[in-house]
Amino acid sequence: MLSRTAENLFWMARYMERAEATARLLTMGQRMTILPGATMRDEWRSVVQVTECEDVFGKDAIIREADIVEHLILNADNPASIRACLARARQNGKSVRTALTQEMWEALNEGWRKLETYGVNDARREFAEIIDWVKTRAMIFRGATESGQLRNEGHDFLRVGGALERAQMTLRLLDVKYYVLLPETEVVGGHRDHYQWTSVLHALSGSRAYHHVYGGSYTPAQITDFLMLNRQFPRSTLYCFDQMAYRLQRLASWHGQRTPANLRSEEMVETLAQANSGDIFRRGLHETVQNKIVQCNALGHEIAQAYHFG
Amino acid sequence: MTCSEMLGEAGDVRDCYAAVQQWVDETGIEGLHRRLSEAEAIFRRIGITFAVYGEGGDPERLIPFDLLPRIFTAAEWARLEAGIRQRAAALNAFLLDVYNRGEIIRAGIVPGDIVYQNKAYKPEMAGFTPPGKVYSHIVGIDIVRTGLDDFMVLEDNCRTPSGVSYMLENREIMTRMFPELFARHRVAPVDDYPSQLLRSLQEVGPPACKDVPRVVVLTPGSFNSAYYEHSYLADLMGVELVEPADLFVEDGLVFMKTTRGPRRVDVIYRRIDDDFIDPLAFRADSLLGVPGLFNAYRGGGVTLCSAPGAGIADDKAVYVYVPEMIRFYLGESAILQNVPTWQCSKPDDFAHVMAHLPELVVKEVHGSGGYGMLIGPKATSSEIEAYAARIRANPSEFIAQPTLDLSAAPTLGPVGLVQRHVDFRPFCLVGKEIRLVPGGLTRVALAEGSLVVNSSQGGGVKDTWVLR
Amino acid sequence: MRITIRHETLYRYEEEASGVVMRLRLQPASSNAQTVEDWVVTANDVPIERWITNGYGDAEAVWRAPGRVDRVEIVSQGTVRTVDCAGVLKPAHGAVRPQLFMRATPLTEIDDAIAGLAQRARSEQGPLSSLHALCKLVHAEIEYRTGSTTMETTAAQALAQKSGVCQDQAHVFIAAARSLMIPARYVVGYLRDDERPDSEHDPHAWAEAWVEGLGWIGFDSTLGLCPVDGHVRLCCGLDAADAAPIRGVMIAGGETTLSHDVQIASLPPEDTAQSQTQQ
Repeated sequence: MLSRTAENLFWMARYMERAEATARLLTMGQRMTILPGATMRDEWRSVVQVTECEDVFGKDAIIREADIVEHLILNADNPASIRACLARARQNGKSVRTALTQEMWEALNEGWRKLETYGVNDARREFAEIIDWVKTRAMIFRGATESGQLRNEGHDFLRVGGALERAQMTLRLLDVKYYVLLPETEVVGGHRDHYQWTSVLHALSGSRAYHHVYGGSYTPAQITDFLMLNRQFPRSTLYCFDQMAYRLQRLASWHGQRTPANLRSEEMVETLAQANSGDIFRRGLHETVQNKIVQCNALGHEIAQAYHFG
Repeated sequence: MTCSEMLGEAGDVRDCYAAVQQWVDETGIEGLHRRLSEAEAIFRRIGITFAVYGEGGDPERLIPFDLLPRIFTAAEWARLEAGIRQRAAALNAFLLDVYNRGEIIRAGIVPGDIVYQNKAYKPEMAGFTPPGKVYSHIVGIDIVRTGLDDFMVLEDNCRTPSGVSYMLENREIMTRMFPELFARHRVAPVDDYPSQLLRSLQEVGPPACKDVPRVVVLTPGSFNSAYYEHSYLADLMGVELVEPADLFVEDGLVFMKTTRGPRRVDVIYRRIDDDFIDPLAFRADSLLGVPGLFNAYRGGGVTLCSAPGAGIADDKAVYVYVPEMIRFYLGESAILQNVPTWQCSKPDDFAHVMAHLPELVVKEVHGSGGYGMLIGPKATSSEIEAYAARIRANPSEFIAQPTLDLSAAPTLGPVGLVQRHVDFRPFCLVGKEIRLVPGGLTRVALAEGSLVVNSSQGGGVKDTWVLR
Repeated sequence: MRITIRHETLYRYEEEASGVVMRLRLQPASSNAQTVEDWVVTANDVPIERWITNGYGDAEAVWRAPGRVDRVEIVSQGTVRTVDCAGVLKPAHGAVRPQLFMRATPLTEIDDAIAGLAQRARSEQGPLSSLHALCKLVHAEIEYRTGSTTMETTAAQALAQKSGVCQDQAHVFIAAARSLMIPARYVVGYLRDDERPDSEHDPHAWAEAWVEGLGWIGFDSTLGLCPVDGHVRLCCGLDAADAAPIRGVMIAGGETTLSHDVQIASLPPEDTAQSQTQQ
């Protein structure tokens, strides 16, 4: 397949995943601002940090919901905004129109200009609807991919892109919120941390799943275990790593050749699979998360190299 | 009086339109409007859009679609088909000639100046014979009708005529939505156009290719106004849609960059203008092209469709000579007539044009897409004055034609059927043999009385039926 | 005369350049006036072997630099045996019809001064006499002065300032010839100049004009003469830009600096073996 096609499929999946992740983060942010004591804290700050666009807002300014709506939903010039992500995903898709099914294209194309028509006030009023709409788009796109796309190498490029983006989003969330999961905070206890934990789980649509796995109680160690090491939860780091290694292995068989990306992705799985949450805390949650982020970035580069992107 | 496509001389509905008329009566105007909205929703969802260069507004707007088909009888088509094939053959013979010995110029039939001084003539092509002696592999011929028996060629398109995707999509939509209509008629199918196109392209593989040639479609990219058509054709032919950056030239051969490394490309159906395909051969400031592509072409490593420089055959100054070309190369007389044309470069013609501007249509010799023309009867006196000044400044840049009363076809209006002017563009394929699917693109000028059918100027499209 | 030539063109890129592709017209063709004994062109030491003939009848090749490069060195080198044919080129060179070379280009636009110059050269005895007169006239009117013009200087500008280099003199000749309805083209090549040391030569340029019945005839307005046996013809075009012996593109590479080094020596006529060992 054309390298450009592979690259566009890879990034198309990443942008769709990113748009959806941003939508979930915004839900988390809004939830936290309505919790007790919220006005004292800059709750939106962590959302902005996770999406890596602090420079758009300024380092010290108090971030209000209106700012968030403006820059993380509507601002076409902020590459992290939902509008920008959807537009880029569509542009990637349009450039490889022949590699998509009709349904996949329709999922990208339908309503792609919707967000252009909103002002900040309209968008605040319809906040929940917009977020739902974005999630629905992402799910329709995934569904169209799942049920219609040929299982050829293009599908694997798309899936590896999606898994990589999702792993990075979970890691960035852990990176920004790691302090609420540190064991010391257990001592502090209280409602706030409980809210923080549940908010993180909400942001990853993992509340229900968490309870299925761990029962009713929240502890930092269990939440960390769930988000880092659980092999069944599709937004956990290890699950995403598994996916990446699997997809890259399939690509290697398509091409009849293994690449450095295979080796790295398998090492990433192996290291993480052998760890438990105790190890992670001993080594330092923050350091571990940072280290995984670096590995993900390196893997992205190796994929690009191996398949002649750009 | 305007010729009506639907009504005979006596004002009666022609046989070929009878069933459509009946369908309209049964469905009712409201019903038709409802179905039209459904059709538009399908078009938009699929993404059949047409962007217009240099105009603001929606970059991906829909080209308006009219539900009522434009219908040719079998006898009408037989004549059109013969005329179209004849013209496509003569235009390619002309290209072979002017890039080699130039016999038609030596014979004094076509003046050398309008060929050799013309920017569309590429000296880079001189002395080179492309595979199969084919220069223009897809010839789009714009045909108008002025009477029930009178068809005329308005212009030829020998480079990369667009619009064939509308021919296919319009038919697709019509059969999907109105199967009952097709049950009442025997409409010749057009849906094997992509496979005929692929066969034609495979027939002109380069000397360096010993196998079945690998064909690709080369697009400038997804921002191009015809990108949808490029991707659509690549899809239906089952070939790669490539951008210039996907290709490179090595050792006189062309390769595309794939995830498996470089892969040979043999035939390139390119939808990029001559000037932009290779910065080493043509415009040096082109960021789009593939450096060295032309050298590989001339060296026999790849085939470019259409050949660079094919545009000299569809130049408006050359157009005047097409009937004589047909006689010169084929020894036949032209089946389809040209529109009478005055060349402002000739003093007598110039005088006539200047004296009759309010009645004439004046066009720039090198213009296209309906831009920069004067439609005398519709222009104000100050517009005519300003245009006259341009002609005087540079007479050889202009030609003039009488304002043709294009035929009108029934079209869905807000409260009933209205008559709107139409033209017709068939797509003739040239490989080892000449192929023509029975159909084409009918464009319709949607504004009342308007004669401009170009989609870039608010024209719409119709399905075109050839009855068997 | 037997002439040996070594022409080196060096491109240096400030940053490593990627996507460097070059089109070369550096392979002289044999004709009545010159016989190419041996000739090799290399790009970064790789010999260029695949040449095609372009519409003007000249050899043309494309070379693509592998990966990234910080310099590209193109060297053409060989030996050509020449005879003085009074400028007449046989066989008629190039597939393109002579009429094409009536096309005006931005560098050869005809203004009143050029048309006036052409009228002064016009002769009752026909185009050949007019062209000879024009060649001498351009030689007399435009003083050869290095550095007085650039690559972008037009024929009209050069005539207005009455100075220029061989490129400008050829452009003025071409524009003026075309104003007399005589097709004319720009020729790139080399000139062995006995008054200069072997190592102090430059690429040279002159013009060819089409005379019905005779064919293409060279006119060197720098000398005020038709080409002699010191001329070696390389390639031609509508003007200097069109006839460029090297044209290149790159994707990125920052500032590019270009340098030329041309060495031309005349050899004793029969001493082939010795000349090769000397190189």
